[in-house]
Amino acid sequence: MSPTHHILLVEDDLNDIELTEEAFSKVNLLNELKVVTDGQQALDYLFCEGEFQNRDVDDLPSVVLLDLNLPKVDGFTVLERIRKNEKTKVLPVVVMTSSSQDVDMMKSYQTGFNSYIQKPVNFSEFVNCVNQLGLYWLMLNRSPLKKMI
Amino acid sequence: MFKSIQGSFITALVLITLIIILLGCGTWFYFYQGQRIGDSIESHRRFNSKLATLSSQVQQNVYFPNLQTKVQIDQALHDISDQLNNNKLLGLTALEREKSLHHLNQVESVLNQRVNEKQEFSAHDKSRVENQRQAFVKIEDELGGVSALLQEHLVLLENERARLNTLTVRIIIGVLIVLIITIIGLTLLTFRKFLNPLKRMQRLMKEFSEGNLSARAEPFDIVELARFADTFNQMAANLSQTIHHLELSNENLESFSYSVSHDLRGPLRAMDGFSRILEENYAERLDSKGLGYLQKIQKSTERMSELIEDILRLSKLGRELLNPQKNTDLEPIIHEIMHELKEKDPTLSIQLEINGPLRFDCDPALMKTALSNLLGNACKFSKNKPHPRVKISAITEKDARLLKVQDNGEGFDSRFTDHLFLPFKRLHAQTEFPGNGIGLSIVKRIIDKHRAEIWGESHPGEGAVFTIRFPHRQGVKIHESNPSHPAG
Repeated sequence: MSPTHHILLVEDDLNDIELTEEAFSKVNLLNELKVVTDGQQALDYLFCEGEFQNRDVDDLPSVVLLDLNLPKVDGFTVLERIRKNEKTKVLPVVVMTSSSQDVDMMKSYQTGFNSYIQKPVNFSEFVNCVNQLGLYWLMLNRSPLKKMI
Repeated sequence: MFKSIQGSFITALVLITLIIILLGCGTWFYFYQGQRIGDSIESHRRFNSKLATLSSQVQQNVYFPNLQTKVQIDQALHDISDQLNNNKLLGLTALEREKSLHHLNQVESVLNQRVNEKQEFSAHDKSRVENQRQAFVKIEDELGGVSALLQEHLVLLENERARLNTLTVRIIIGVLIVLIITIIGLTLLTFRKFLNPLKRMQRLMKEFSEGNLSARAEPFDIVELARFADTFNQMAANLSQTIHHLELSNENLESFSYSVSHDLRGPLRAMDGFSRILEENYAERLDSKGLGYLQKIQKSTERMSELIEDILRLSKLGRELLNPQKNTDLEPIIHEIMHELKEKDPTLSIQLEINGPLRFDCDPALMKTALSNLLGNACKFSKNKPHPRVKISAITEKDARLLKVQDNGEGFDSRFTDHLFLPFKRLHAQTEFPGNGIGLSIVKRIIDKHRAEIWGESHPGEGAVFTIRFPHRQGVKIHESNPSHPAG
């Protein structure tokens, strides 16, 4: 299986997943979106363990969209594990959360997130936001990971 | 000895009293001794003059023995003997007394002899003249002996008086020196023992009041100060505990507003999102009424989202710290606010009037938020009037400074003044003037933080006046304002 351009969405709210998928399909990026629903699954996906043990280890997503409030393993812990691992140390991770709390934002940047996005309540703004995200991380951003492959 | 202030004062009092008593005793001793010696000296003088009188009487009697004068002389002799025996003021020793009496007895016997001789010899007897001369010399010698003895005594007494004077002066000077040293010592001790610990306590309290909540007094060995320190420590502990509880409940409040912010937005996003998908993907299956309902759902989600934002803003304001600056000039801030309001609504055309220098001791950033709400309201409620006008004035009172914001707009029913500053209470219909009713509660919270007061006055249709009263306060820590950044 050859490495592909794709985005990993870590989100436990089914409504939010559906809306995100809808937004991605509106900007024709739905095929690139992979979804996991808790922190442990996200780690399993990235490190090819558990249910994802047959996945290609080198097939890393272009960006991980991570919710902070997650079942099993929360967003901050997921990020810590990503940053500790040599393979995923520089993987772009974007916080997507409903929280507008300054402390969450500060902590996120300090823990090593690449970007902090507050999910807008308004759907049109949300679609707009997803469009820009996809465009930036899939098309414009040049990741050091891709060079290695 | 100096374990308590009370004890120390009593000790000092006792010490000083003792010294004064000692001084009194010394003075009394001087007077008593001095008087005694003076009396003795006086007695000696009297005695001497008696002796002199006696001497002249006796000499006369030697040449002209006469029974009648003899009786007088005997009496005088007895009198002097009596005094020698009994007058203690003369202060003679037993031996001296013996000697003197012996001399006097000799005088008496000579005289007796002379009286007997007078009866035996005739006037021109040669041996009689010789006897007279011998008796004269004899009496002179004897009386001279007594006189010399007493004279010697007198010199001794006068020496003693001089010695006593010197001694007394020395004692008085000594006692005075001791008294002065004691007073100086006690004063120094008071400073070291009581004032220094008091200064330490004062420093400690200052430290505590400046925010070091773990500052505690060390134990003192002085009872009163130890009690004082204990009370302070107790108060500090209670305060720290209260602050700890408050911090805990603040944390709870924060986690509550966190979940409000996080959890309420999710369902709202779903409502808005799905209604829009419905609108876009299934529009052909809905009639205009159905599409209208979808719009209403979207409007409601938008409004609820704003309400959540407002609640969060209000709760965040409660946690913000006041950073007051002395003499902040509010005028540039007001112009800035008006500029922002005109950017939001370019049709806004309002006459702004500013009276007096608007300098107040306040937090510029927070006051900007408050004034921006007040001016926003003033503009909102007066822009439909023919000549909308907003007047801002500063008034100085005896114990306060007032800031008035007055418009000529719609005003409000003064019966509902109580509701003005409550969150989400509105005095006008949403359709008439839009808003969430959160603006004035934000203003109120900011004014409360300044420990100032705010009230509104109005009649419907006559415009509204909002007055902020900043009371003059002593001892509140206010930073000097930085004129280059009036908005902080």
